[in-house]
Amino acid sequence: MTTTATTAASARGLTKVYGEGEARVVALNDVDIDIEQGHFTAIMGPSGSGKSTLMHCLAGLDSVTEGTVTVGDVDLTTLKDKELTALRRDQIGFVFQSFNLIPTLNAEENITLPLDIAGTKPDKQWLDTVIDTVGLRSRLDHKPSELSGGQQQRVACARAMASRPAIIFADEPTGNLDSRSGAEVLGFLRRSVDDYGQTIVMVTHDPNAASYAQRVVFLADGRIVDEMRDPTAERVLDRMKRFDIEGKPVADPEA
Amino acid sequence: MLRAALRNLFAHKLRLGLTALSIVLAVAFVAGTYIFTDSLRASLDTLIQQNQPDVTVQPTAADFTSDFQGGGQTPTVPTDLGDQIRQLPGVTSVIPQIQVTNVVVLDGQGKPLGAEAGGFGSGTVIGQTWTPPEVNPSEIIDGRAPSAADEIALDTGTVDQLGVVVGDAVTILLPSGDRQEFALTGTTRLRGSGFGVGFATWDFDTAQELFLKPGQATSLAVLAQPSVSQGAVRDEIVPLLPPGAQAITGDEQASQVSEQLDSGLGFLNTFLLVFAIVSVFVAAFLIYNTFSMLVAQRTRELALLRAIGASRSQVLRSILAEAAAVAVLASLIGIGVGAGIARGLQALFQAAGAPFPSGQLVFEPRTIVVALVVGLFITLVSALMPARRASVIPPVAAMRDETPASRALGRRTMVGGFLFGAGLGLAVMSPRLAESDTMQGALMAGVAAGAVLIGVLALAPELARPATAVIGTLFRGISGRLARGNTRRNPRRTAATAGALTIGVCLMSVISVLAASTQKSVAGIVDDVIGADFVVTGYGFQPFPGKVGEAIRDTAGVAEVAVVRQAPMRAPGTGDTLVTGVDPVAIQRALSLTVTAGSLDDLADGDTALDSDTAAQIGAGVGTTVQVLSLAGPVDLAVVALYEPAGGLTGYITDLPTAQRLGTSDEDSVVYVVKDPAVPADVVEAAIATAVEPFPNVQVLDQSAFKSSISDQIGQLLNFLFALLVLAVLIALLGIVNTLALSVFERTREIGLLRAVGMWRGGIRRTIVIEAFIIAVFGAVLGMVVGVAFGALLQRILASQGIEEFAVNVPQLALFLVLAAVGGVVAALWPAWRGSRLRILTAIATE
Repeated sequence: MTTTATTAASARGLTKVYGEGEARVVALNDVDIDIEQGHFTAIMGPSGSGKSTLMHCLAGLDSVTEGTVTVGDVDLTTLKDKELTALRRDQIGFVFQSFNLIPTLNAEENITLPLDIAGTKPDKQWLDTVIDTVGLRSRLDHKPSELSGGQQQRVACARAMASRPAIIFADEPTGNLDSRSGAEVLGFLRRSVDDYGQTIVMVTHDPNAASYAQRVVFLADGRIVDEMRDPTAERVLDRMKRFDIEGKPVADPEA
Repeated sequence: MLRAALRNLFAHKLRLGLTALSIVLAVAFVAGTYIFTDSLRASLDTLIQQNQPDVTVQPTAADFTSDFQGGGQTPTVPTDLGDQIRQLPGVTSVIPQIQVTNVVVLDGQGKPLGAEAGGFGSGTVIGQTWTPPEVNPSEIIDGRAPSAADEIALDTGTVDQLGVVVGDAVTILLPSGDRQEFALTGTTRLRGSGFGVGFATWDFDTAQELFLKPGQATSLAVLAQPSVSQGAVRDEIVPLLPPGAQAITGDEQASQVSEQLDSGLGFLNTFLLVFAIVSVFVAAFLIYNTFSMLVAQRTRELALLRAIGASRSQVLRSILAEAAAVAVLASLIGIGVGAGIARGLQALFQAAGAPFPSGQLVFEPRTIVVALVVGLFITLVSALMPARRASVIPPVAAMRDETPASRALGRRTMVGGFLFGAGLGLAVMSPRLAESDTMQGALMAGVAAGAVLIGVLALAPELARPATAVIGTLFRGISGRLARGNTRRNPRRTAATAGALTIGVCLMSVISVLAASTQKSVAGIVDDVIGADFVVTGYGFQPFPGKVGEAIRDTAGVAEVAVVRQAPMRAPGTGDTLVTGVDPVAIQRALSLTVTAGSLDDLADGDTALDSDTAAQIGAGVGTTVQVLSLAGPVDLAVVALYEPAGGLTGYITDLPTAQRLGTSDEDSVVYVVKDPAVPADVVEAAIATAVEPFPNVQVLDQSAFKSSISDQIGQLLNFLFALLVLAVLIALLGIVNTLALSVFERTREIGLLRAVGMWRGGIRRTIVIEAFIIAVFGAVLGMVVGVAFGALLQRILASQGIEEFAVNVPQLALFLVLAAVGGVVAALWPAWRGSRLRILTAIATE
């Protein structure tokens, strides 16, 4: 597929098991994946397919049961909590579905939060670029409660970009937004890939959101079952339907 | 609905625990106060009721000497009166008794026992005679009763302190100043209680020889035949009594003592309850805060109940039922903890030198009722407002996912502002009122302070924003910024949490300011009034032998010795008091007294000088004759001078011969020494020290040492009051734990987000600890400002009572602030630890 030089993150033989005995659930089953640098990758799959778990493991938010996860050239499975935390702070950006912002901080403080935690001075020029790209210049001193849902997600995107992380993980970033705000946020994410070479991994179940990505990886029952380059919403939808039937022979085709 | 409320209760053990703990502590103090006084009462009752003679014959002067330990002659009755009484029909036996105060037990080094510890009346025990068990409140624990002139028995406490055993020799310092050695024959204990009063016991003949003259006893215990009533025996005795003696039946004596106990213990109970109520008030804040937060967190749950058809009143009832269940449970636990508090109070009083028993604890049904009522009342009142707020939650709130925003503060601020203003107004007026009536003025100032304090507490949410911003600037970095933001997010909550601490710190500051002002004023009085170079006092301010003054008078370098002798007396205007005998010439050299009328030089036999306050009260002036009741009976005194009370000198002053007629013994209360100006102070002091060496129960103090000895006494009282306020402060700190623990719970997702974007666990902990610090310092500073202001006001009001100067003990107040801050930080440790242990994924998981 791609050479190691252009891989931002990867997993080999990644297995994640929750619980024991009767309650044992295999969330990820021997997954191999490479996240290409400078690309926008979407991870898709039905509920319970393991797509969020995959993201959490890749981002160092959750421990793995077996296998390795590499970000840059660091094996996350060898890191202690403190090192993992530092790695998240310096190398990784996050955009969550909801509750992305600290309510007591204003928009600007939220954007620079990871930098402030690290105690590093923000790169002023880059910060201006990011703020202008998301179009929040006039809203910087507003508290999150004074911003719309779309604006809040744009602040979250700006925060994720502000520290120039190696990779941004977005977990259903448009899940709570109306379609217009969603399109704005997705457009911004795509532009940061095209214009600034940012690496983004987005978990979603929305074919329309997935169509903004350059590559879609399909997950079902904890395994990667397919992938698609340069997707459109229709192709993704088709694929989803088809793979529902193929991948889950007894599943409800409506799901 | 009730089942839902109860199930909810047990589903959240942590919340239950935190809420309950605050109720437990508040109830515990109230219950502990009652248990303490009831137990004290029970111990005293057993003491009064058993081993009472049927009739006691005692000097009438005993009516007004009982309040004063030491000083003056010991009033006596003749023993041959006992022989006459014994002849009466119906009387089976008459037992002469001797009881004297001011017997000093010396330790191995020849020092008064425990003098180093500086306790009240160090080494001083009651001297008494061993009597038959029918009238003896004590019993022998070990060995036997003393029966010869060189034998003594001591109470177990004193024996333990001395570290001696039966058979050892013990040395006693007698009121005459002589030392005498006795063989210890046994150890005694008061029956049925563990009172810490010390007793030295001799046989009658020995005690009479040591303390009285032949033919004298301090009382006669009369036992009657069972068929004869106490009253009948008394009526037979009365015609035989000489002047100055009286006969009291056992029942009369018991009811007299009982009455005194009722008023004494009632006062003690009220005094302690004041502190208990402070704790209850503080706890109410905590409970209110907890329920507010619980309701806020359960908005969705309550809205869901509304959505599925629960009525408003059902929601209201459900919250109140939950509160009531917690209250009952916590109150019951509080009664148990109250027993511990009662023990603590016993220890506290014992440490302060009060000989209170540590006997069995008494649980009256009244205690349990009061505890339950207090617990239920504060909990329901505190929960009512949050519950009403909960009941108006619209069902649609169940669908929304947001923590409720803090509401506008308008009405609360208005009420707070009004109370604050009204309180200030009263405060400004109170000193004027105090000029005419100190009590009324103090009362008004108290009301003013209460209004200001409640006003400030109501205004606290408004103050919280600017104040936390200022305190928060101490902390740089993201943790500081986040902590500051958190304290300002819900000013109402921050204010309530801080407010609990405000109350405690306010009261401690008031006491601190009053104590510092008193100390400074006393020091000022010492400077102004005491011209003497040295002051000689007994340990624990007990009287000491007149030989001390004589020895000092013969010392080189001493120019003047002014002795002060006192005796109990009942007099117009002062009630039961002490008459003070001085040499008019010597005392004017030792003290600078301000004489407002007449002259002290005119003080001759049969005259008195009266302080101007007492004179005004009884309408006396120079030339008036006043009749007083002395140990020797009624005496007329001619007023020849009026003086301003100063330096502990108040009431009736006479010359030494008159004082002796009124009943002073040859013991001195204080000796003032003026040195020869030509001799250096340290030389004179050393000479005096050598002169008083044979008298280990006196201390020679120069002016500064005298000042600091008084300051130390005030300091001791201060520590005692602080100890009573500690619980209120602890409850307030618990409030910080509570608020933060619930805040951490509320901010689970926020903390998860911070962790996700790279904050270390240490950073989370730091944020929470800083938040606690800001809240604690805010509360403490607020309390201190109000407290110091109120202390200043009280000082002005009490200026006429001798607290003429205002002083602030800055290091002490700074210590309060540091302790509050440290307490806040410690309170935050557990919530901070919990916050830092939150699992990121649980925290950020979308539902």
